[in-house]
Amino acid sequence: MVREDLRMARMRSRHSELENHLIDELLAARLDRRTFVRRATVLGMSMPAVATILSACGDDGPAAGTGAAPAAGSGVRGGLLRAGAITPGRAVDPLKLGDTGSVTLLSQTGEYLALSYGEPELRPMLAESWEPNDDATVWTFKIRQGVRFNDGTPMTTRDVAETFNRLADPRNGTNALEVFDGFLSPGGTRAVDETTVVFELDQPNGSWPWLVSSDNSSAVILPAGYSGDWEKSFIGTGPWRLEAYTPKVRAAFVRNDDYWGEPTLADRLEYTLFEDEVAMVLALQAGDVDLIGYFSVGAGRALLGDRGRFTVNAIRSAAHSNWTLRTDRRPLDDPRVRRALALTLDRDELVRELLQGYADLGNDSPFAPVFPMTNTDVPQRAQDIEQAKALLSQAGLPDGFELEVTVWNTGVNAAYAQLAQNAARAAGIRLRLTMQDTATFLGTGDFGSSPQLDVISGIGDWGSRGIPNAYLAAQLSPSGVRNAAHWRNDEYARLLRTYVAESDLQAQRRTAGRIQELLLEETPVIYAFFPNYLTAAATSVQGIVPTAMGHMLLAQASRA
Amino acid sequence: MTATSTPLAAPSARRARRVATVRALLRRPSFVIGTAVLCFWVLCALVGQAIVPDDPYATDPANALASPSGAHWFGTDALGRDVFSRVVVGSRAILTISLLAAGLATLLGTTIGLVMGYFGGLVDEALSRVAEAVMALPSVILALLALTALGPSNLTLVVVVGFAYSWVIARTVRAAVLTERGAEYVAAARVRGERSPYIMFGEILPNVVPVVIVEFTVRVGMAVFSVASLSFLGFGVQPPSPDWGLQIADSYGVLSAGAWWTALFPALAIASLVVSVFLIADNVQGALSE
Repeated sequence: MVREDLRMARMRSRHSELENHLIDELLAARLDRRTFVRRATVLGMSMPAVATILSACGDDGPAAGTGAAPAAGSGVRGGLLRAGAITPGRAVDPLKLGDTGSVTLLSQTGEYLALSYGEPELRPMLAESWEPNDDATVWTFKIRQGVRFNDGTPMTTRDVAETFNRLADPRNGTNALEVFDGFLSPGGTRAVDETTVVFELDQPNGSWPWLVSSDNSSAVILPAGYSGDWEKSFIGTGPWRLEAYTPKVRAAFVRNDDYWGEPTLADRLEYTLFEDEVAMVLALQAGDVDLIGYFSVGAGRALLGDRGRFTVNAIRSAAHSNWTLRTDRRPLDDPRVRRALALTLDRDELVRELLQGYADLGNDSPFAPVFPMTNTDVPQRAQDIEQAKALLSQAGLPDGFELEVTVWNTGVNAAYAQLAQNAARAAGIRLRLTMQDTATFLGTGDFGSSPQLDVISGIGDWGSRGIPNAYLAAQLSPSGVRNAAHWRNDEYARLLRTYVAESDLQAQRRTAGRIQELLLEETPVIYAFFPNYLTAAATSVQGIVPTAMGHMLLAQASRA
Repeated sequence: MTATSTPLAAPSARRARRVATVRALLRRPSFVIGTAVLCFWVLCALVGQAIVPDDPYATDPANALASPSGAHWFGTDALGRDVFSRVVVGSRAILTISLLAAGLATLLGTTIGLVMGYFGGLVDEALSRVAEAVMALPSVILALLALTALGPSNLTLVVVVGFAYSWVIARTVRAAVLTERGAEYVAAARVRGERSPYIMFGEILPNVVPVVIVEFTVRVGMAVFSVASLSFLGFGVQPPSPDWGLQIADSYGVLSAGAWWTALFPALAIASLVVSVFLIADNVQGALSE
């Protein structure tokens, strides 16, 4: 034990203030092992260091293989792997990713500084390590050497810096601005030398490595001179190289012989692109493809019930159907009315029946149970029709009210809306449903010409993120670009600023708790559940690494 | 004057002819079967809500996708709703919309057809080009375009389907009017100094009524099909309405899980309604041309 203490003391001397704080938290038993590993990787602590600390605390250390990208598979070499994905809605462009299908294709040849994989955990990818300064305003990343793009040119720190300066430039209108806005300005990323890239942030951010990892799906490293037309080359540093791509039909890949990591097990990978989920599920059932990307519970019931032939991989996620309530329109401008509506939902039943148990309960905030910073002491909202009626009476609506709800007809939304309609009736709330397709619901994406942002109440759809920052900023902050509830709350804005700057998990949880309570009180958006991210494969296929963002890492996948 | 007065001056003869036609129809077994099926659905539409065993809107997720049984004759759908109740009550939306759409199409189409056939010349030319332009597109595509622009609602559905079919009817009515236009009773009416609207609707229309009746019945059948297709595509009747096309669309995802009952019964309902209407249309056409 004395030897362990000495080792620990030596370790501590090599770590920053933030990292030592994390070790204190572990020693004080305020963090469990898994959360410690997760936070340690975010702060850039190496796996040997993490293992030493855990063993000093009487733990056996993290399981083998968590240190690098997912472990090399022991599957069969050679052959063709056939995969299915939903066809991208528009041209695939890493700067402006539209949907899961785009992310799936991008992830075959594109790579990130770090991979956010499985139970939120960050693994080095094109960066070997990273560390913050004391107040988390400067983050220094050590970049992997010997990496080449799939056109043969070497990847340099200049490429990395340019990638992030391009993403942070408002003129490019990238998806990454959703989380970079206010933190990273163009020019804020610098290549210091041949192995080091530094992010100089506009304000402290304790979760920065998440925001430059695969969680920010646009952040694949591209050559410095990248000028668009990604679909022509599928340029990237990943394990596959594009052979042929026919939009809306198929994408074929061959092994990238220049790849820095373990070479792919299969010789070739062929993606068939499907217009809808049901066709994709049927193709897997018929044996036309070996594995498929995301499918919903509604479309994939056959797979969930046939575990003998198919392996279903369910990843806990923070994806959700956000039910927005315009806080500036009668009668929803009264928080009691919004709470009453939220109280009519039977969330347990939604999770159990609508999502067949493949979901976490929502508590009307984007703090999904999967996030370690979510404060679990905040009481869970449950169905309470009597309280809903009482609130409506207090708000002067004893006979309930009528509300038009515009529903983005995707995933489980239509079924969710119909169940909600039935539930709301018990409290006298009469919901009128209007279903809209993707193009109609999203409109231009700007206020005034986008039903998702303009309607009095709407049910939308958000993909998963490794941390809740994007949801908190875009959906709920007064200046949020997706603030469909038109909710302007100064206390929230203040709490959000505090939350984002914090890098200590306990502090984050405390602030999260206050945000969660405020959101329960105000309920500008109803978050009823967070569905798992489901993928499936024939049982003969092994080594698939999916992420809840839509990435499918198939380098170590093979068919027995 | 005898020739000109025939169509107007012999109501008793016309009544006798009508009775003969109805008798001829009732002797045709396929007409009787078609009418029986249609009457069944009309009855369902009128009193279905009152006689079904379950509330067609009541969800019961814990009892989702139950196969047909004594408790649920047609099983339950993905939200646990009783499929039998939904099929019975679902007849109301599709019948109402289809009948209204066919009625609107007949009204519009007959008027346009009368104008085209009676006036001829430039008016006929111009309207014929419009008709060709509208008919160049399949009616479902045309309806889809309009519904995308206007947003789906039952009223839009009636107007859009009605408009799409009105031009087909107009062409048929026009052809019938062209043969009537040269008849002596029309010339006589002109000589009497009757105004054009009277000649069109008072003199010519009664003589092309058989054509209009046949067109109406055929269009009802086609409208049922169009409305069901549009609902299936998500542009017609909106959830949670127990519309048949919508029910089939909702069942699409659970078919591969073996829940055949959620799609089969609404599909049979559509098929039986369309076939019954076409049986009636065929027989009416046959009886009128005898």
